[in-house]
Amino acid sequence: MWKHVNRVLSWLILLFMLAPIIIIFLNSFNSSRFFSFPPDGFTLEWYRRFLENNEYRKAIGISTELAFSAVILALSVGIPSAYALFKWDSSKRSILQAVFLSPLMLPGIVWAIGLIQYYSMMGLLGSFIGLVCAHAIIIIPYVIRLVTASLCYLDEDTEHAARTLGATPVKTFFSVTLPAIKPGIIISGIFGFMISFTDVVIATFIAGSKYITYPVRMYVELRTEGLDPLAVAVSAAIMFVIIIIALLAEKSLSWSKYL
Amino acid sequence: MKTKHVWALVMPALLLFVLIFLVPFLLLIVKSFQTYVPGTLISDSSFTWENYTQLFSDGYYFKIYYRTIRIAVISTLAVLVLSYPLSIFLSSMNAKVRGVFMTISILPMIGGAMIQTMGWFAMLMRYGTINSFLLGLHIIKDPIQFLGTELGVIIGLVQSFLPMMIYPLVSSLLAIDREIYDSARTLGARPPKIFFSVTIPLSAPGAMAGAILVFMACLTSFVTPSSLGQGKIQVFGTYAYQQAIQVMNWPFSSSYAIFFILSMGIVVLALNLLARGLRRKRCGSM
Repeated sequence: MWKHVNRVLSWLILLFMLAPIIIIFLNSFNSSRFFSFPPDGFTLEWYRRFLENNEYRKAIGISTELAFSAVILALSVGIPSAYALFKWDSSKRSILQAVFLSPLMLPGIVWAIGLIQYYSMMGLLGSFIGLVCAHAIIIIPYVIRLVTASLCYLDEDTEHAARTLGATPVKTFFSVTLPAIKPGIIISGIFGFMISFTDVVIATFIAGSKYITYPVRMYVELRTEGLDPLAVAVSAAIMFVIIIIALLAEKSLSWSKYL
Repeated sequence: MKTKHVWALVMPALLLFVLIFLVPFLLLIVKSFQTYVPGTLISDSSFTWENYTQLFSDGYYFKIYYRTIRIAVISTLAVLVLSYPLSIFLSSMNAKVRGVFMTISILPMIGGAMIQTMGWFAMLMRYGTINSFLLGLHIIKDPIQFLGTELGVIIGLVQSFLPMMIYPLVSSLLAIDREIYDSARTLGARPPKIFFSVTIPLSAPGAMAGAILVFMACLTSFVTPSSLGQGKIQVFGTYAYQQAIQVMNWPFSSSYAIFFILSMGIVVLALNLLARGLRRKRCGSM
């Protein structure tokens, strides 16, 4: 009996957690502008307008470019660090690891207040490179954590064997170590992309007016003009892509174990 | 690996951290002791305590402070209560199915704050989904005001941050030895008794870890209170944004942020010590 009660409760809680996403999907097809329930009728009008709307397409383009660049930067500095720290027998290791993980503890909004002043001093406020560096900082902790987790599964004997057979350290890294830590790299890449792509806080503080990402655009519109069905359709489309990627990542790499 | 090589590999990331993460924090501290010159972004660089004394001179800041903490405490407690049934359900599944459900339950986080907020906005609007549904069934006569109220903000925060609690809670539930449940049952304990004297004590460290994460996230949240509070629910995040972006009083917003983070840091540190105490007690009793 208790088991069934708990099951029913769980489904209700799950429904509550997913309610906003479900409502976004349902309303993206709702012909009423006012999000009434039950819906007035079925329409693809909002999606058609989305395809014709250059503003949103541009904002999504900027977000994609930004997320892609931030992930590349985070991976290219994060993987070597994770690898070196893993192989280093020194008491300083945990200090450096703590440094790289610190963005997870310190609230983004406090950092953003410092960052806006710093960027304005350096002339980086509103610049693309400024956004990329800031987002890379919040992605690096995940790269370090996930790559280190994959390194724990790596059999060190294989690396030794490769070295004994005459492979250079560089060759060993690329043909033995790298394939072993691939899941960590892919998962932190996907997760990092989503973090950057959906970030509002850091981007609203430092984005300026030239590089307005899609979530910032949505935020500003929601605050000034209220909810627009067109924005709902855009969000539904983006959420759909995110769900597909998340389920694929779970199916092929069981990513939920790492997160 | 040789220390020389380690430093070479770590250097690019370290440099990025120093330049983009550490220096802004130091600048935040320096700026908090400077004076704001209205209309400019360059502050008077002479040293002053004024930004900090201002925080204690006016009851307004205390009100924001108190409201932020109240909302965070209520939301964290609600998350704690809601996450237990779901986490128990998730931990009873086989690994493959659980993976899919864990992925589904992290969607509120990876979908981003903006999409969650928009969904709640559509539901909580004056003539939005919930009100039009309740009006249609004649349960209520007039629409309920959700937007611009603390209730609306709390609903949004609880939903957004549930995944932060579920992940650590499920992993600590999975770590509990199944045989303990079997023996409790054999000894005649009923499910509610098992829940309160086995499940809760043994999963307390995970719940505490999750609670700290959720509490911190609620305290410093910005998108949810700003959008669902509609400017009427002023909390730390929205006020910091107003001072830094709209008023552009950077010295004061710096001192405000530092004061907030230091005082909250002490609370979180105390909670962390408590969590460690829970873990030790658990090991000591077994």
